Amino acid sequence: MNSPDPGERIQAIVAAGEQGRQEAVPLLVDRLEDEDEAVRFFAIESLEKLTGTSKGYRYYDPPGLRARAVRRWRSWLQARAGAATSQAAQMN
Amino acid sequence: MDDSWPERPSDAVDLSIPSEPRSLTVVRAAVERMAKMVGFGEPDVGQIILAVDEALANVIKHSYRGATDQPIRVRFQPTKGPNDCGGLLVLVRDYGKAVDPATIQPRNLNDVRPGGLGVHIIRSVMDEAEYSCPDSGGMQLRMVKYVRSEQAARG
Repeated sequence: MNSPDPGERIQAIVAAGEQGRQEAVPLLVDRLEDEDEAVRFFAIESLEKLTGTSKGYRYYDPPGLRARAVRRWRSWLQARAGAATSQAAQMN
Repeated sequence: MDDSWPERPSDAVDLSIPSEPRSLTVVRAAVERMAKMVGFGEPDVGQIILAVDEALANVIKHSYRGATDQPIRVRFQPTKGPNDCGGLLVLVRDYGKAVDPATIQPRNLNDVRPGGLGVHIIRSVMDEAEYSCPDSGGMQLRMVKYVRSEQAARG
C-alpha cells in the first residue's frame, strides 16, 4: 500500500477490502491522505467495506474537509486500539 | 503527457493503467463502486462493467495490437442527465493506432464470425458512446449512461 506506483497502491487497497483484512484498516486510513484521488477513492471504498462507515469522508472534498474526516478516522482508530487493549487486559 | 485530456473535475477519478489484463481488475472495481455511488443498481452495474471491459479489450487488441506495456487512461465521473437524473461518464484514452471514428461500427449480428461485438455491446449498454481522434494521437472513447428515473425513485 506504500508503493510509489499509484496503480500498485490501488491493487493492494482493493485486495484488502475484498479479502476482509481488518488489519489493513490503519493503512487504509493513511491512504485517505494520498495525493492521488483514485487511491483515496478506493481507500474509502475499502474502509466502508471493512468497517461499515465512511465517517463523512469524501475523496473529492477540499483538503480541509478531508483532513477533518481523517482526524475522525484517527480518533476512531485510537479508541478502537484502546478498547482492544482493555479487552486483552481483562482476559489476562 | 497529453494536453487533450480534459481537466479533471474534483469528483472524477482518473486511472492510468498499463494495457495488460491485470489492469482490468482495478478498472472493474472502480466502475462498480462509482456506478453504485451514482445510483445504478443491478443489472445496470454489471452491464456498465461489461461495456467498459469491452472498450478496454478493444484498446488492447486493436490500438495496441496485444502489447501489454502501453498506457491507457480511464476517467470515471459522476454526471447529470435529462430530468436531473444521475449518470456516469467514462472516458477511455489510448495513444496507439488511430482510426477514422466513422469506420467504427457495430458488427452485423447476422454475421456469424466470432468476435467484434465490443462496439455493439458498448452502444447497446450506454446511452452515449462517441469515438474521437485527439490531436495528440490515439483514440478517445466517451461513454455515458444515465440512471433511469424508476431506478432513482427506488434509491
